[in-house]
Amino acid sequence: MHTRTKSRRAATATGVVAALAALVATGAVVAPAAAAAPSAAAPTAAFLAPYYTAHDLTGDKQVTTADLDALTTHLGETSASAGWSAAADVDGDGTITVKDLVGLSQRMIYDDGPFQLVEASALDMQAAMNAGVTSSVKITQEYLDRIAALDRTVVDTGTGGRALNSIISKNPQALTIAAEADATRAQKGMTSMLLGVPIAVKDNYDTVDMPTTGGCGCWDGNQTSDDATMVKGLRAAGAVILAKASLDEFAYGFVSEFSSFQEPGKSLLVASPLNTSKTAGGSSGGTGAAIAANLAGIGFGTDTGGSIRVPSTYNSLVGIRPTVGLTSRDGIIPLALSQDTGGPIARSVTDAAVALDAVTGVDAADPITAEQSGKVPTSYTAALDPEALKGKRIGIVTSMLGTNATVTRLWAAAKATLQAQGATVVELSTVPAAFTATLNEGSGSTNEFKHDLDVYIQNHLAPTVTARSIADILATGRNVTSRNSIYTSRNNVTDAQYQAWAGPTGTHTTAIATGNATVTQLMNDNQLDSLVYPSGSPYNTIGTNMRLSPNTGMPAITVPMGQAIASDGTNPVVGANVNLEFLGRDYDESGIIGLAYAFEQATHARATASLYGPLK
Amino acid sequence: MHQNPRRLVRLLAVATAALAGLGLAVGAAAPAVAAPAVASVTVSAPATATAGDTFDVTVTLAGATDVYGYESVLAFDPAVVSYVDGSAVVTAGGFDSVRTGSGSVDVVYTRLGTSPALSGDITYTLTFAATAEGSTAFTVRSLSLVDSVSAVTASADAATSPAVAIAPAAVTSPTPTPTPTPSTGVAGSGGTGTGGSSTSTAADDLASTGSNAVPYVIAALVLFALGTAAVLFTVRRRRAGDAR
Repeated sequence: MHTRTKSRRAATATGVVAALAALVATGAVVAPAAAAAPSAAAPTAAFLAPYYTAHDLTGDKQVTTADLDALTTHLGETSASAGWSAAADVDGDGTITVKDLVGLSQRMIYDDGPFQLVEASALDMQAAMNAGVTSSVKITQEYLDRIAALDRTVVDTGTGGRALNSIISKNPQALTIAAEADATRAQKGMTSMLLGVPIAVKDNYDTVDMPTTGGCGCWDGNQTSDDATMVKGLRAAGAVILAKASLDEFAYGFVSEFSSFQEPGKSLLVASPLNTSKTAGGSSGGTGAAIAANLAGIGFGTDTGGSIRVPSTYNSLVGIRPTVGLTSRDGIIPLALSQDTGGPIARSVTDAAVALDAVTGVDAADPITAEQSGKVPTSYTAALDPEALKGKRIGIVTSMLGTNATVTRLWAAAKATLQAQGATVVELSTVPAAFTATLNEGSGSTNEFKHDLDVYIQNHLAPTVTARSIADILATGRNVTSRNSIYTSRNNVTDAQYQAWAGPTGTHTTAIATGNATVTQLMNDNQLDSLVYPSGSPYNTIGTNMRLSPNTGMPAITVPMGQAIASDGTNPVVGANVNLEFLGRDYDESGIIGLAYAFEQATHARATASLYGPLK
Repeated sequence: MHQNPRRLVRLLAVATAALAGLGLAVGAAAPAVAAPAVASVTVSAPATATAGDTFDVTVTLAGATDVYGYESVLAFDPAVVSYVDGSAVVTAGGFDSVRTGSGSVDVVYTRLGTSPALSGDITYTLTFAATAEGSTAFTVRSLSLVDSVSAVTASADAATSPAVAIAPAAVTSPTPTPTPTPSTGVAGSGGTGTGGSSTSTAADDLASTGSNAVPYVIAALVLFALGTAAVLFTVRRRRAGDAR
C-alpha cells in the first residue's frame, strides 16, 4: 500500500519558500559563439546523455572543442599504440582518424546553419545560440513579435476562425533577462539546456515580473512579491520567463475561458492553432495554444484532472503530468491540492524532459515534495532512448479506448508501432473493481477549491488585491460570470465537508491511496512497464481517462498518436489530433519519458499549426 | 538521445546560404551523394621565391559536396622551405588542427555539431619561409574527406604544385625582393585569401597543377592510413576564429 497520501496536502501556511534543490543540469557545454571564449566552467551533470556526452575525453561529461583538441593528439594511433584512447575511437575501428574527429565534433551542441524559430526545439536554439547564429535576445524578440502579431488576431479566415487568445501578459523584463542569458553564455558557455530559452507559464504560476491572475479579472492586480518555486527553478536554469498563458478561470474546466483584463462580464476563449474554430482545451489551454503556435519555446501548465494532457492532445503536443510530489505547487494558485501538479507542455518529448529537469526538487513549502528524495535522476534526458520500447510490456485497459473511429484507427496503428518497436502489448479486458472505482472517483475541484484557495490568498495573494475570498470574487463581477453558480457551490463547502473529503482519512484521500495501490498492483501482476490509453478523442475527452493519473498520483506523459482523416466514421474533424498517454509508477518519469520518446521517434505523429508559420 | 533530427531536415533542403566572406555554400548536403567529393584539387604556389622571404601556398578543394571534415597532408622539401607556425588560414566556422612534421603539414578540419557540411570551393592557405636555395614542389600527399554521415573518401597524391625555385638571398640588396605572387586575384590578396568561387579562377591562374576530376566522386575509398607517420609530428593546434 502506498502511504504517502497523508502528506499530499501542501502545508503552505508558513509562507516560507525553501530554496529549490536545483537538479538542473548545469554542465557548460561549450559551443562558443563567434566572439566568445571557450568555456572552462566545470559541469555538474551529464548533459543530454548519452549522445551528447559519449566519447567525452576531458572528463567533464560533455563534448567541447577541448575534446576535439584532445582527440587530435591521438590522430594516427591504432589500438596497438602506446597510450591508446578507446574513447577517442568514435567509430570503433581501431584507428584514430579524421573520421573520429568528425564523429566527436557532431556530439557538440552547435549549429551555424540557418536558424528558423518556428518549430525550433530547445536543442535547436542552443545550437544556434552557441554558434552565434542567433541570441536569446533575438529569439525572445521574435516570440514577442509573434505574440503581438498573431495571438489576438484572427489569422484563420475560414469559417469559424478565431483569435488564439493564448497569452494574458507579456513580460516587460523579458529582453533584459534574455540579455543576461546571452551575457552568461558569452562568459561561461551554455550553462543549461534552458539558458536563454523563452518559456510561457500558465497564469496561475506566481511571477515577480507579471501579475498572476488565475484567468480572473478579479485578480488583475495580483502582482506577487515572489515567484512560484517552479518558476524559480526555471529562472535558475537561465530560462526567459516570456509570458503568462491563458487558462480556464482558476484552472477549473477544459474550455479555457478567462476574464483577465476584460471588462466586467466579458470573457475570452482560447482557440486551437490547429483549427481555430475549436477549443484549445483546458485548463492550460493558453499554454497549449501558445506552444503549438510557436509563441514561446516551451510551456508550463498545471493538471488537476487533465489540464496539461487535454491541451496537449487537442493541440498535438507533448505534456507531462508529473508524480504528485515531484514538482512543488508553492506559489501556484491551487484548484485541488490532492491532485494538483505542474509540468511542461512542449513540442517534443526532448523539450519536455529538458524542462522537467529544471523544476524538480524538494521544497519545504510543499512537504509532499520530500517524497522525491532519491528518486529523481540527474537528468530525465538520459532516458531519451529511441529503443526504449524494446522488450517492454505495455498494458491497455480496452474499456479506456472508447468507440471513436479516429481513436480506434490510431490505436490500431499505435499498437502495431509499439509491437514493431519490440514491445509487448497486453490488452486487459477485465480489471479489478477498484480500478474502475478509481476511474470513477470524482475530482477534488469542488470540495477543495475554497480551502486551498484560502491558503494561497493568505500566503501569496498581493495585499493590494481586494477580492480575498470566493465571495469577494463574485462581488467584483469581474470573473466568468456564467459560472457564478459553480463559485457559489464551491463557496458553500464547509470545513467539515472538506475534511471528510480531503482530510487525512477523507474519502478522496483514501480513494487516491487505493487507486495508487490498485493500479500499481495491476501493473505488477501483469509485469507492465506502463499503462497506455488515449488522452482523448478529436477535440474531446474519453470517459474518465483523464482521472487515472490524478486519482492515483502516478505520472503520465502524453504524446501525439495521429490525426483524424476523412474516412474516420461520421463527420470526422479532419486534422484533429489524438494523443497516446503513458502512465507509469510513482516517480518513474524517466521510464515513461523513454517510452514516449521511442514512440515519438517511431511515429513522428505530431501535427504542426500551418496557420501560424513564420512571420512575413 | 540521438542525433539532432535537424540535420535530416536539412538534407532535404536546397542550398541557399553562403558562408559569409568565403563563398562556400552550406546547408546543402545532397542526399543523393553517397560520399563526400571534390571535383578537383589544386595547389597554388609562386614560381619563385627568395631565401629569407615568406610566401603562401593555397590548397583548393574545388567543387566540394557534403564535406563535413577533412584531413590534408601537404608535403614539401624541408631542406629549402619551412612552415611558418600559426600561419594556417582555414575555413571559418569550424575546428581545425595543424600538425607539422619534417617536410609535411597535416591540416585537419571539421565542422561543429549539427552545422551543415560545406560545398563549393574549400581552401586553406599556409605560409612558408624560404630557407635555402633550391627547389621544392608542394604535394597533397594524402587527402581524406568526411561527410555529415561519416562516409569517407580518401586519396593519395591528389595534387602537386610546380616546383618553386628558391633563389639565394640578395645580400647586397638594401631591400628584399618582393615575393612573386602571380595571382590574378584581388590586388593585394597575394593569393592568400580564402576566396570564394569567384576567386577560384584566380587560383587556377597561379602556377599550379591539379588533378582534374580526381576520382573522389567515384566512390568512398579505403580510409587513408595515417598511422605511424603521426608519431613524428610535433603537434601544434589552432582553431579557426569562429570556433573560439
